[in-house]
Amino acid sequence: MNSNELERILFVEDEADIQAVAQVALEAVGGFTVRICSSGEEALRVAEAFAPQLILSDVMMPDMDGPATLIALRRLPALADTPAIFMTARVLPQEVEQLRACGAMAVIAKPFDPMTLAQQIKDIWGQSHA
Amino acid sequence: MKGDRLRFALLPFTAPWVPEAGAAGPSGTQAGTAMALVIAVLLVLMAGLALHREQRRREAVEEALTASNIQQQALIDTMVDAVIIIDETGTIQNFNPAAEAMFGYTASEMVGRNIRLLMPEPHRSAHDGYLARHRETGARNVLGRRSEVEALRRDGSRFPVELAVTDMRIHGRRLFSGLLRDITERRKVERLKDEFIATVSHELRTPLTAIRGSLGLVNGGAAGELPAQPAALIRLAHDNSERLLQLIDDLLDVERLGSGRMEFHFAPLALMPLIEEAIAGNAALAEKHAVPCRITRTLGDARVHGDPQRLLQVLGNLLSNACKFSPRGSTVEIEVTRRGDRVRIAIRDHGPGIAEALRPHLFSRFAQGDTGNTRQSGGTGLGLYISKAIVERHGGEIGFTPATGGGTTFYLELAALGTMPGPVQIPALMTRSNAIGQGSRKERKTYEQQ
Repeated sequence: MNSNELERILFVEDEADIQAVAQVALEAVGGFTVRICSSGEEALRVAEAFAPQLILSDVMMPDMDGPATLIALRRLPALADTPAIFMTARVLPQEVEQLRACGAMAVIAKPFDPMTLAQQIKDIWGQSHA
Repeated sequence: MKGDRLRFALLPFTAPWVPEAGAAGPSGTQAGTAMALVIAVLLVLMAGLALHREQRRREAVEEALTASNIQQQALIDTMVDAVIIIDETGTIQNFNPAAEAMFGYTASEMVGRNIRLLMPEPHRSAHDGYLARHRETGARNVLGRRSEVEALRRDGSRFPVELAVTDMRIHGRRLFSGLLRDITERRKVERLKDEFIATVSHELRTPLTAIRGSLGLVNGGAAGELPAQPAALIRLAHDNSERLLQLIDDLLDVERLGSGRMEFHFAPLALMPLIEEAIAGNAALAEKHAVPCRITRTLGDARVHGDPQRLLQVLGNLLSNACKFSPRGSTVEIEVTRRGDRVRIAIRDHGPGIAEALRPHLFSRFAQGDTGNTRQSGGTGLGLYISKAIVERHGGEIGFTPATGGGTTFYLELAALGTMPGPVQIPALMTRSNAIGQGSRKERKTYEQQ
């Protein structure tokens, strides 16, 4: 295992059922270590201690949405450069561009396929760390 | 008839001077004068009768005209829609009771005043210009079609109206008749419907995503191997959850198309990579049905002007239909050819063909083939309807023909880029959505300039 191997993912998602599905998809299928947060606030509390290699976040959430969460996380020195991926049901090219402008390296369409989600993330990770 | 009458009228004056054979005596002359007098009286009576008849006829026509006028006025007065008639300068000639109720002015207050009074800015200032432009150039801004505009009540409040304007010429005078309908309620209902659909789609999608995700994980073996029977049941549940999600997406698309709110992002596109992407996207389904898709004729440099996501949706729909309705082991063949200034994508399957009875309705909503088959294939009956609407927004054409040797060829024709004279045509529907006030500000400006 080299140091570029993706292991630790911070996952921000407000829907408990989606959390459960994604947890199996990422941990059981993908073999990642995942810290699930139900809100942007929770992500901000645990991010530094967990020290993720990747932030995976939903876009539409109450209070702090995905982009707001990412902007706040970026203010933490340890997470200033952590790569991020958004997950959203709205995948209009315009909106994808806006999310990329917020600092996300990719956008995964919802509903995601749980059997291929981990591979999708590994592919994105591989492309940016090649 | 007229000639006859004239001849009789002349007779009394000519008769005395007409020399008559064997009637030279004074008694003969007297009898002749009396005769002429009788004839003259008769003729006068006849002429009087004719005149009277003519008079009666005119009265009847006038009565009919008056009756028609009364009927028309009654019709205008009882109309639910407001009717306002103006002349070429915008001066109000007629203001019906519905208009009185709608705007809060009485007809006696409004007749003789300018229509501008009922318009909010910027139309209030611009309206004289519209009329002048129409007088000079014949520009038909609102004439002959329905448009949605804002109107101004006496109390200063604004409200949306649907407006239809027609022009007419009476005794050389140009008049415009405007029919207005208050659509405040309709707008409210539309907004409620939008909110409802957005809520329903989100509330349905979220749990369905969890259901499909969970079933997908079990189905994919993430929770360990299952015995054959539970595995088959899980697969059934998983397939149906996917179908439900597809149905929600399709229903949302139908709603967006109906309201003119489907967004399109047009750009120049290379066609072959797009087709390859569509084939790749359909690969899982092709494998499931054991019906591979192959490009048999390619057009390497073909480019079109389109929305890639929407075109992928159309191609994906045609490809999945072709695979679903093909016998296992057959191939779906894709041919890309040039036809004049268009490119044609033909997708040929080896299925049973489309039933005669279904052909005229194939592109309408909820068109389904044999109900049993469609249920098996998991179609929503909306795919082709959506595809047609998308292709039409691209200014293209979609259709099908029975293929020689069995099966069906669905085709898609789009304007080829680079061969078109002048700038790329903006699809007609885009301007239609502006007419109902849903377009962007830039689009709406184009509409006003039309």
